[in-house]
Amino acid sequence: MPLTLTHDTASKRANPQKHNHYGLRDFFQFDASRGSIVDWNDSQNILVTEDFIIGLIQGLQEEVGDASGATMYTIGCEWGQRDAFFFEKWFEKEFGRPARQSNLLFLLETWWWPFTAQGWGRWEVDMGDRKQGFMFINLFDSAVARTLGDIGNPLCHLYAGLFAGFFTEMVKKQLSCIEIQCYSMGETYCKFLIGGQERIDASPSGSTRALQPATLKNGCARGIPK
Amino acid sequence: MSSPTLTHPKLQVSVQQFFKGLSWSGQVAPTGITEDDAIIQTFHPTEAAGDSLSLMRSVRGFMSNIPWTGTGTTTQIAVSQPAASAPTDLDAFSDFF
Repeated sequence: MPLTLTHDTASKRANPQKHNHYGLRDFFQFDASRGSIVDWNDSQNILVTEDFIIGLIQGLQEEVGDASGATMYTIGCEWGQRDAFFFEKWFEKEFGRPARQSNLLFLLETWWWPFTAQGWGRWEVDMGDRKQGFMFINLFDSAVARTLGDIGNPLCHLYAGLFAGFFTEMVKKQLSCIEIQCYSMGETYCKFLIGGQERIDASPSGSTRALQPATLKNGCARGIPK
Repeated sequence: MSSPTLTHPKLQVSVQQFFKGLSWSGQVAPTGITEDDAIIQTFHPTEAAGDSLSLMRSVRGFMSNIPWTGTGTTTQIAVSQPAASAPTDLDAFSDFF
């Protein structure tokens, strides 16, 4: 039976233009009878355990070996590109103006906040190196890395793909993203580098390359060779 | 309750005061937030990025670490003024890549 998604909580009926709607019972609509969770933007959500994440990653590794990182990155890219379209629609519906006519930082915060509410972690955008054609995203509490813990390898290929896909679509240029530090490598948070595809090698070997932030900062100043 | 005036570049404001509404000297008043709402996204997209965004981000970050309906908190939050030259829209942002 097809599921019609309609966020229809008392809060939204009472004030459909309420923008501060990130309370648990405002943002999510739980329908136990249909087994559905629909968020404010009319997107269907599912709840998964950490076992799901572990199973996904281990299953991929068993199936495709070293290509699992690239697979996750590709999945993330697809997700990010689709979400960019979805975001532009709900943003305009929510605020009554096109995303492209809105303040950039407001736009970025508005995009990520539902992810935060859904448990994907908090973020911080660092545009300090934008003049070199790069930007950084700091991610706190990555759902993937926090689940698997300190295993000595960067794990957040899904996030890297998500950022690459989303920003590629938003800026209409082909961008890539690599994770340059990860909670799963003993760091306190994950850090991603985003830039033009011709300058960043997001292949699995590139994303697992041991890049340290200080080295990278130096590299940014002169352009990181692919 | 008195409404403290916030100043640049480093602002300290209690979350409790924030949720009760503050006047913000020369800037955007964080309207629409009440303690019961206990969150966040109140600023209109046409507003300048400036301090409102930093404040929003800080409160968001803070709120994600406490229960969804947490109220009455007096923990201090810091608000930093972002770089003045940050791009203001997607077109300007795109030019950096």
